[in-house]
Amino acid sequence: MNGELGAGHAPVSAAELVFDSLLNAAHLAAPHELPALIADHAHRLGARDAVVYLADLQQTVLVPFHGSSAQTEHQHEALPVDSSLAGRCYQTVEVLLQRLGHGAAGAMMWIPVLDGTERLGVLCVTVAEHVVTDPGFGLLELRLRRLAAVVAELVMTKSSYGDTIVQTRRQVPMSLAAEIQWALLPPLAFASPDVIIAGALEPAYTVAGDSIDYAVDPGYARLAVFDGMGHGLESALLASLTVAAYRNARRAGTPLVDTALDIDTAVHSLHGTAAFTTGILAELDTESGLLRWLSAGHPQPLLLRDGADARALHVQPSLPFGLEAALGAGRAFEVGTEHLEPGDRVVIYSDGITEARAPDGSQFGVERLVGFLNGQADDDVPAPEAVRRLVRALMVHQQGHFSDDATLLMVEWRSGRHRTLLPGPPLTGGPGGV
Amino acid sequence: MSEQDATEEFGHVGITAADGRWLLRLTGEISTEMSARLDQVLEEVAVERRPVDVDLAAVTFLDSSGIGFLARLGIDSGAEVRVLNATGLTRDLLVLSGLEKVLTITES
Repeated sequence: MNGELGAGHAPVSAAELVFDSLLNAAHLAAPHELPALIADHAHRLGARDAVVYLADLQQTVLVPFHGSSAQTEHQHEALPVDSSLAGRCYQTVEVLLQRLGHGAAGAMMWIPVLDGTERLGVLCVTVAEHVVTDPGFGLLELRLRRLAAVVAELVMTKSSYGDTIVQTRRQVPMSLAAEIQWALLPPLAFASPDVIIAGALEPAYTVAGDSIDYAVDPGYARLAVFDGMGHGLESALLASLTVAAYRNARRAGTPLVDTALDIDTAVHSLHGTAAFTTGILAELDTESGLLRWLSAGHPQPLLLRDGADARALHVQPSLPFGLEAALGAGRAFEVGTEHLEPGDRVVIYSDGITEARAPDGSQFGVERLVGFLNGQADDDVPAPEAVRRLVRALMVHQQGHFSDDATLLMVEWRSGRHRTLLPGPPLTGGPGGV
Repeated sequence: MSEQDATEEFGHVGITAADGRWLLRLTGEISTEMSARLDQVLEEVAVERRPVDVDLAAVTFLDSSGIGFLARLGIDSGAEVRVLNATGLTRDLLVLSGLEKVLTITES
């Protein structure tokens, strides 16, 4: 079928018109209307029963996004990330084809849904048996991958207009403190050829006080981990103030040390010496690999090199943000420097990671943290998945109970692994394949 | 004072004055449940400016409220503050917290 663009234009394919229709309809859709819209357009591309599964906040299950209740005549189950095909698609970021066996049952396709490299979930569709064996299947696969890419964009852009997407990603009620914290967070995964960034924040539904932030800008990746003192709502508000002060300074182009001074002033102006936030601010020159960082009373970052060597990045620590301001002329933040080598990983974490306690009282500790991350690197597990698995390991170590906030931000410089964060080439070699 | 009793379960701070110095003995778990008591101790030592010794020998746990307490002691005292018997992980924590800027940390 040709479009109506008139002579002189290349013909518009039917599939192209399907995407046009989806994009046009999406302009006038609320978030809860997305599932029906996506299923309808997947059907027009030649795939049925399209369901978008969204990862919950802890990335333990993939939850079917049903949208409006009219959609729910056949309810789908949530699928565990650690033990399902959908989960394997999510973990490996690969398109998977699941043959449904005898008869004309066809096959299910699982396609990662990615915002950049942040894994939002997976798109599941069913295709008929004759379609799978058809030489044209490569083209269909390409279109369905494209559909998954559009789904990712729609999920991201529609999230702010309603609560259904947010609700789908929550498995249990969230504390007020955690509500404040999650509103502050950047996406927990980013990748470019220069840097891969992966973060985690637990306990997801009751977190209060820990936070992370980063920004990737021309020439620099800037990262921060914060830990607001105490617990509960006060800590969350403290972290919220700290992150806002950090961003405010950073976005004004303020240099590293002055940014620390601004945060210190902000916290002190509201709390005097009664409350404080510890933190690490870091700035990575993405061209040269020069890392500069400072510590406001926070655990030292770790440098992981070659999967074997790990050492603390030491800098003279200052008092936490909010307390330095009480020192008058003695107020200062020292800056550490380190030249990274390609493939180096820097891990910035809060004490809740290393001090996570097993029921017998034993702490998770720095050694176990380093050992775990090195093991994942040895197995070529990409940073965001390694961090997800670390959180699972921490959960197991503590037998499911986080007694303190645990936060981690890992940055990898020029490891060349950024490509592993995207699906590989089409299963069938693309159009004309098979 | 039931509130006082409740805090005693978690930890304890004893104050004595000798040889022109304050001696603070901290015992047990120094955590957020003790905040009121820690504030009270800061007020008590502020009454008379003297060097302060803080003995951590009997401390079993120290969280951010304990760090805040030591920091304020160092910032506000206007006199030398020495931390005694800070060993192992506790000492590491005090150093990482930047407390060497306001206190002298010793292991004995």
